[in-house]
Amino acid sequence: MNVAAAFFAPLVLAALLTLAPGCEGGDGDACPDGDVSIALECPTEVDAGCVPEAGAVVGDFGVEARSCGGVVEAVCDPAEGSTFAPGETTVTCEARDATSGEPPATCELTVVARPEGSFSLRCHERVSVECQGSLTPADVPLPEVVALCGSPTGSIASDAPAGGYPAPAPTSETTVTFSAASATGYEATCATVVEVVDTAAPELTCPAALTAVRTSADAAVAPPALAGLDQCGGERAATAAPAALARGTSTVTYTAADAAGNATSCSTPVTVLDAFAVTGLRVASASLPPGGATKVSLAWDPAGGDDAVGYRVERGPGPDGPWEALDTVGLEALVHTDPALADDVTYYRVVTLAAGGVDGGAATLRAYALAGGTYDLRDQRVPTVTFATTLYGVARHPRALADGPFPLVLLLHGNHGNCRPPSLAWDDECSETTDHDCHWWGYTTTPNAEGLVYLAETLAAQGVVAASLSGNALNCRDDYIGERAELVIEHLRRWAGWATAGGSPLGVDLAGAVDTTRVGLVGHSRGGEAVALVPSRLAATPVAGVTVASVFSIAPTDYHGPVPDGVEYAVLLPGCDGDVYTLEGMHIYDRALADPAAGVARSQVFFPRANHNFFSTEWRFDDNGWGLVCATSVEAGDVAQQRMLEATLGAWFQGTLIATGTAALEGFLQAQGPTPPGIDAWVGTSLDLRWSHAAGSRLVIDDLSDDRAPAMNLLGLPNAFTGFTTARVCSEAGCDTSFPHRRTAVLLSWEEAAGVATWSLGGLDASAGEALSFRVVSRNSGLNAGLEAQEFLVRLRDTGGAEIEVLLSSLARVPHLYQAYNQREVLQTVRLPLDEVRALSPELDLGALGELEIETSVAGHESGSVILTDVELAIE
Amino acid sequence: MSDRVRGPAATPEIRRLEVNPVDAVEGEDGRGQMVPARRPVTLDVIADAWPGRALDPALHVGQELVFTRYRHPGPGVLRFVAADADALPAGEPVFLQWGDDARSRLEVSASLEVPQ
Repeated sequence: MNVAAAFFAPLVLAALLTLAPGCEGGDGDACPDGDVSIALECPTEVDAGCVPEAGAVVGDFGVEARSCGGVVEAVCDPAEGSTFAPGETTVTCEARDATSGEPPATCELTVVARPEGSFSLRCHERVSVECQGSLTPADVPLPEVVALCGSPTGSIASDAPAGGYPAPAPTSETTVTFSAASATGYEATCATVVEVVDTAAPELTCPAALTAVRTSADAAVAPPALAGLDQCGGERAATAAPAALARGTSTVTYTAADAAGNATSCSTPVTVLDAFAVTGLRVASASLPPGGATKVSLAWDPAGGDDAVGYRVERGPGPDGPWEALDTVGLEALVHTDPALADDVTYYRVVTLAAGGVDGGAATLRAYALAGGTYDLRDQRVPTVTFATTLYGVARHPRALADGPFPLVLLLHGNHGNCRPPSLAWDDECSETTDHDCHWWGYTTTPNAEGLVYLAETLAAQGVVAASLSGNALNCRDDYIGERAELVIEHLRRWAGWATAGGSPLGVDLAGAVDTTRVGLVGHSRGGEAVALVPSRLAATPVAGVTVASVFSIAPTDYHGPVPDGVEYAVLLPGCDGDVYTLEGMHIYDRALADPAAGVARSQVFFPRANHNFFSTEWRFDDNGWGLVCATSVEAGDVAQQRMLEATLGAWFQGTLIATGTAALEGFLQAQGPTPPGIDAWVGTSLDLRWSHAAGSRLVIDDLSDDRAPAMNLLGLPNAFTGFTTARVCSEAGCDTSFPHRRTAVLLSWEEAAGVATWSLGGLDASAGEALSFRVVSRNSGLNAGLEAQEFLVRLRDTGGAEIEVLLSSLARVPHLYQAYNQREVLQTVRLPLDEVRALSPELDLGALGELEIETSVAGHESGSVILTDVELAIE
Repeated sequence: MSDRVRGPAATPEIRRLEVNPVDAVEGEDGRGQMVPARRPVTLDVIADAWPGRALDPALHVGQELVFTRYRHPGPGVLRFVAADADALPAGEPVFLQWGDDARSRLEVSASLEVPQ
């Protein structure tokens, strides 16, 4: 018997002698009530203490077996006295009474033998820390060491993350496991859950007051952005209520919330200012001084918004900046000149300033720095010109030709002296020459082509390749207008070649830089008639790769009745023209109206204070002389004339040549609205321009050409003229000696009575139209004595009787003639935009128009006389 | 006004009308046609200077003849070529006019002298 068995033997013996309760010994005495069952009790657990790896003997389990019927013996498996290894072993015991035959009783116990060197680690179950960012440090306590049969050697290790614990998303629990080992190799672990919580709301501070700016009239303004700072989540954008603000001061409540739903709010007054972007930002003028840098003058129309206080003009290398401030000006300033463009392409931005130096809306514009040169090709043949002559052109183009291809504009001067005398006090003189030069001794060549270069420069800065041509060899000859047209076409032929094959005489490669399928032409005087002839010449004899899109004639002659079909066409008539005093350019315009479905627009501008010559910088003598046509005191002057033309020509070609896509002419070119204030500011004086305009596609309601006119219009519907003293159809001098238009019209006179002129429209569907219009002029009649401008009512009525009535002056100013000695009655267009009709009278059915009327019943205009024609519906 | 402007355009100061025989194949008949020359003469209107303008000058000789095809062979010379000197109305007034601008009318000679 080993020592352990000897030690534990008594415990085993005790198990043999234990009797069932109630029984007296184990000698076979009878059990009370005859109960002979066996009772067996096991302890739950037997602590074997610290045992080596090989195990230890455990002698007595302390099992008790009892029976009243006899002697019972508990037998365990493993048996008492077995060797138990470290760990927990389940022992099953059974007690059986061999004599009674009763069923055996069983029980179980667990022998716990702790390994030598064993210990346990007791961790904190959970640690919570407040989030401090994406990773939060946490101080996780080390576990308690419970020494059982030993203790750990060395330190307790853990897998706690070094950088900290992640922020909640939405929760954050990280299990940190601790471990240690004893000298016997026994290892123990435990774990602590580290929870990162976010219970702190973001910090949010509202400033004392905030300002926001509305940059356009239809823009919704959101309150300025505000952010809170959350200890856990960092910057948190705050929502604002209300989310959209009107002009004025409103209280806005900001709320910043974090991902855990903690929120903070604050409130502050927010003031919304209206400071809209300027409109009509344009290159008003550009110039390239010899050897100098490109100078550009910008002009714009005033910004809307009641809180605008001024502008800041900036420039930058790209449409998004970065921006360099050039100047800060007040609201009255509408022009800025940049004396030297540094870059090939410069962007300008005009920022409207609101009170307090707050930036409002902004408009941007691109301008090109210029380069240029002159080509001078001698002994060239031009069709219809009987002598070899010179192709001479002064070109201006963007330095950044790689930004092309750019449209091409050619300009041609008119008939003028080609020899310049030694003294500039004398006018240029006419000589007969077959080339560009003056060959008279003591004279120099008149730089006629150079006289229009200022226009070429202004156009080039807007993205055009332009060249002003010399017609010196064709000057000082009778007529030679057709030859001038052929000269222009020959230049176009050369440009088309340079644009495709390169090799221009300008010293730059134009291949791919010029788009000769987008050509504009400008002509002055006989040059104006010549460029109006070019479209028909090209239609008859096309030049490959050349398409003329737009033509502008300045004070043209009308020797040959050109009809500029298939091109956008505009003509300028100067009211103080002492040369082409008949203003015969209006005949070109009137003839160009022949096809209302041509798809090309026509515009005519009557400039009362302009003379003939001063549109050229080299035609230095006033053709109005000492007052041939108008008093010299009313003349606008060369600077104003040239500036007006720069700006107007720029706008014309922007709308008809430069801008692609659905470009539309500016309103003032369509007789809709006054001259843009920016242009007036650039010119330096208020321009009294009177426009005629015919849309590219239109329905002619009445031009009084019907045989039954004025009783019937061109829709085949009746007109009515009641209350007028005169209502008759006439044309040219048949109307009166001051009416030069070769166009049928109705002459209306009224005296102390309300006249009503009605055009029946018969349910005309104008819903797809842009405007109704008519042309009118105030007559040189005693009935208009003392009048400054005409006034009457314009009325539109649908078939259901709904109508709109407006004053003429709300649509256009129709001045009574102009200051001149022999005034000419030049028609101008009055336009009723249908968008305005819809806004003013939504109930009026534009799909079923009944009548258009004018009524002369306005107080102060009880008598008067006008000539009226070209009642039209503009479709596009 | 800019300093480029020099004031009102001056009306040419007519000095004289010179009618001289010329060797020409054709000339104007004064009725709008170019015809073969019979006894061609140049009609030179001599002035201090001839500036150019949009309208063309026309030489009105007498009541019926108008010459329109002109040249400027030298400073101050405005030249027309008549096909037949014998068809010119000697003694009739001669004036210049630009287009239909009656205000531009300039007297050239009160009485035309035709060389024999």
